Amino acid sequence: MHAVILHEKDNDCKNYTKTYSKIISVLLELKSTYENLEITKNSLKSCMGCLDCWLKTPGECVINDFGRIFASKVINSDLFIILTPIVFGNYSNTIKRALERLISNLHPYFELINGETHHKRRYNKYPIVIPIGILNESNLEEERLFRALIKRNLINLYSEGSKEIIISSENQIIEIENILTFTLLNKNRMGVLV
Amino acid sequence: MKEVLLINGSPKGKKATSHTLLEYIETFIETYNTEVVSISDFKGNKMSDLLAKAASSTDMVISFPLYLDSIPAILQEFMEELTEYRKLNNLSDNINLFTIVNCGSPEETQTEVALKIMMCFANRCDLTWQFGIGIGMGCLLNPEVFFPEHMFVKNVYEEIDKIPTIITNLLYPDNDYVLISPKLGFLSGKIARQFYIRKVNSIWKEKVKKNRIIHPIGYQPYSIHML
Repeated sequence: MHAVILHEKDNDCKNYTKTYSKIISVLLELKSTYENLEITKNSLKSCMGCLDCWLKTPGECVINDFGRIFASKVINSDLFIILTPIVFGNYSNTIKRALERLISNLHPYFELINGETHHKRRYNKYPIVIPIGILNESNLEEERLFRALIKRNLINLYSEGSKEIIISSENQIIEIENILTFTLLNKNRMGVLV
Repeated sequence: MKEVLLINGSPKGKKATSHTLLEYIETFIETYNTEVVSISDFKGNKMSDLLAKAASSTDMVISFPLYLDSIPAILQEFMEELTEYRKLNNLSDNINLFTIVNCGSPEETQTEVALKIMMCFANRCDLTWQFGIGIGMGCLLNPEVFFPEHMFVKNVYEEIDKIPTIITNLLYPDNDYVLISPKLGFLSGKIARQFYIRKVNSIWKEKVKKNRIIHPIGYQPYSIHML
């Protein structure tokens, strides 16, 4: 089991560092290998919307920067953890910038999935995605929005068995242990069955 | 006098459908001071110029494409910065916010979460939310994909024509025709979904053929055996 963790460098959001430390300790406890992808705004350029990764260099962004490495690492992981501050119910702009570069991992063609139109999968296997959103204080509107966003994202990222976590106070950090443990054990069990 | 700033939130700049839509809407509100700008022209240090423009406007119309079910990162960055800017400078002048989001999928309701994120932004940035419209079948509005005079596109533009009407009705407070509207609206092309999907897929196929690329469209460069 190999995990990739995407998170922002030097984020001053409350509970951000403690949450990150908890993720690492749980992964180590579960004997999962992990890779830490710590980014800033300057780590990678934002998607230009050119669609060349679909139409000129299939599966690979034409911008030759960390975005390519990122897309490769994510698709070759079993578990993709996204640690982000929640801003207006969305990911922070830095994290969103990275996520947009994952478009190259999808196929341009449309197909119907559960009655809705989405881009087809490019790869046979996609990682389980665990988005962890951090709020400085509880905000029901933003929590609801973030959950709604993740529900939609998980369809487009072809992630099955995923669950989002929202941390707005220190005592919620324990939830990471429960969800990561459950997800990894379930994944291992499914892996054996397959 | 109203100062209407029309902001294109697409990274594609002037080539974007979002930009075309704003220029189209601008023709309906020419009696006001209007300006169409693209976020992509205000990267790095130039962002402060855009913040100043936005802060001195009376109305903002933000148009953007749906990226991963939400707001393009460069627009999200502007929204975060503007919120901070207004807070730091103690600015509380009323600014009305209108939003248009277009998505490639036929189901216009796929834009709902993004519109609600924009409503949340309006609330946090102390802007007055006026109206948000989600458009499906956005590919129909891209002149590179479909010819503007094509019969499919005419249908969509009939719907698009309603947007400036909504905005101008809200911009003109003395207008006799007061629009009693919900805060969100959705529209899409009037074409059978399966037909639209087949058409868009075939356009991608043609483009790839034209590009004479080495690898097939479904190439997997990051599969383990490729690395």
